[in-house]
Amino acid sequence: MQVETTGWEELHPAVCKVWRYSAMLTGLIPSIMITGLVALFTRVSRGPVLIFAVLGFILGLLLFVVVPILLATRQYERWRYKLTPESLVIKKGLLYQSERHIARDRVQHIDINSGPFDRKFGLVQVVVYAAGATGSVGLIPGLSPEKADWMRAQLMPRDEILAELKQKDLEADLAEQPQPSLEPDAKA
Amino acid sequence: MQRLDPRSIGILFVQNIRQFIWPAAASMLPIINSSGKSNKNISFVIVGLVLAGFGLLALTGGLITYFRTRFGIVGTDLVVKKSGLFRQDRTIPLSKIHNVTIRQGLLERLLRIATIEVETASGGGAEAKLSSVSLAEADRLREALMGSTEAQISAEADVPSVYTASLKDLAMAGALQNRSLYMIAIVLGIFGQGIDNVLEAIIDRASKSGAVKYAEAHPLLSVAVFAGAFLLFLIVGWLLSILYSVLTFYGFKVVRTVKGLRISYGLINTMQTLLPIRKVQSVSTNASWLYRLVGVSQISAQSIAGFRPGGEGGERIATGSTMLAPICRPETLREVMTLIFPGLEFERVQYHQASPFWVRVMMWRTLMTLIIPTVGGSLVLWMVGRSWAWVPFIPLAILLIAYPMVRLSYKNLGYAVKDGLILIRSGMISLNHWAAPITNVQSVEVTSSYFQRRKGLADVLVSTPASISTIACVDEKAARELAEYIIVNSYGHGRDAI
Repeated sequence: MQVETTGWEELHPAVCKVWRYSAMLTGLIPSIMITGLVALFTRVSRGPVLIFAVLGFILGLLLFVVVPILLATRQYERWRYKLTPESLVIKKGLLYQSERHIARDRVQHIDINSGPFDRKFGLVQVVVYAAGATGSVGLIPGLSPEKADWMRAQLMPRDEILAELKQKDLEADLAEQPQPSLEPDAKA
Repeated sequence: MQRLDPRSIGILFVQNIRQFIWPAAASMLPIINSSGKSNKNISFVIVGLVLAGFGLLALTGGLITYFRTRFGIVGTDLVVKKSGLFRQDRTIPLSKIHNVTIRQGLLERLLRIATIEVETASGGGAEAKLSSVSLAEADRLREALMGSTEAQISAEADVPSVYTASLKDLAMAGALQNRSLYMIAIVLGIFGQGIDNVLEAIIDRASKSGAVKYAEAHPLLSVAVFAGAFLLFLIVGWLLSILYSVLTFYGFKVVRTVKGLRISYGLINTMQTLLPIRKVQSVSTNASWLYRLVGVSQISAQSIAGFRPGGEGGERIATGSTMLAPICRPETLREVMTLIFPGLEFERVQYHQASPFWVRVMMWRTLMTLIIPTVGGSLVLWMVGRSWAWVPFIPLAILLIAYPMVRLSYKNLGYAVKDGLILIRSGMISLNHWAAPITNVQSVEVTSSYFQRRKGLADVLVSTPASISTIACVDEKAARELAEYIIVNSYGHGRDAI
């Protein structure tokens, strides 16, 4: 298999729907928390609890459900990934933008995950792991399963590369052979 | 395949007892408290039974571990087998071993045995822990795992060491580390229960002797007494800190061997770690403001494996960081740096400055982190109808010293790319350096906030498998170029590093 590269690729457009559905679900929890807090303080300051609670809930929904739903398309437009000969590059973010380069030969293993909303729209996520305790180093949401398989095949070490790396390992081991100047006897 | 040394049962028994001591004490407290005088004998019996139960549990634990565990070197692998209910066959290829530590606690030294801990790249803790191996066996294993024997190590005594810490150095390290308050907290924690009683007794006696009335009449005197007591605590904490440093790092020595750096230290608990230089992912130096005043610094190396003893009870914290020198002068620092990164002239590195805009970014961040809780807290107090709703605004006074602090931090910021290394400098009143070979970098991230983008600036996060460091506020174009340069040059060296 050949090392392939791509230009800046977009995610599957259906990922916007996945994000919107998730926002509806995950946004409810902070909304309810805001409602509770507002109700509590209104009660302590002896105001009309019901009105303020409803207002608080609407505010929570606006902040945590409506805004993410509206921003999903713009987020999608910013989300790009590409494979260069050396790395996987992931570009994302609206206010706080980031562009992450992950060296292809550092990839240790890859997970292909799919949540309930992903499955509904026939999508999967690719999670890329590198060595060390830092955990996953990259995540690409909204890929078709075929695309994800292709991505995994591209990022996992292949036979010829492994052979090449083994050769390098051998050379490094040879380089680490005892050097005379370091021996205690030679010093004496 | 062979078993652990039979003496391990004793060691494991003691280790288990240490683990059980708190639950045992906790379970006995209600018994002791609830017993009246009449059923004192019964409660003694119960306490005895509970103690015997925990003892039996600890002993069984030791016996089980002893009979379950078998280990040996099979071909080119270290194999550790655990039988029983939860079976485990662990095979560790010798070439994948990053770090071998031979550890001896006080009891282990008395019994002339040692614990061997073997680590590979998958962080988190020791992959194989062989509790209690006889010294002869430990030596044999060390030869197989680390390629050096006791005889060689004693011969190495003639080899000039890379770094040794004298008693004076260690005392200074303890004295300069701002640990005194932390030490007091530990002492208070240990004797917490007793201190309450002592304080009560003191107050009781004071009020009886009329000292309280005297103090009320002379308010300045009581302030002086409090200040004196506080000072005393600080001095005690400071002395404890020195003692801690001396005990922990006693005889700190770094020797260069064929296989890597051998680091050994400890007075009561001894540690011996072998760190192959090839497996060092990055090196960082740190100098607190006190260290900077004296002109010394601390060096540690980050590898994927590695741990340091965590203060109390001898438990380990997996940090991936190995101390190379708890305190050292610039010339030693230079020496250690050139040893790990040959050709590097550490002191001559020219750093690129960060953009001055960084100061404004930081001031905004400080303002925002202060303003949100301030306004929020004040609003809540005002809603509840308190007249002191202005109190949360007091922390805003921090802004007065924030500016000079941020300016100081700005001066310390910088990065350099030199001889295949990436070096990053940071710190406020302390000064930290981080250096890693570009070939060890596994990912680079260019990030920018809205305000940074408006000025065409970005941060660069550089990660090796063992550490992450940030280059703050550089030109966005330069940041992208740097990221690409690092990745292109790191590619193809993946297996060298791990």
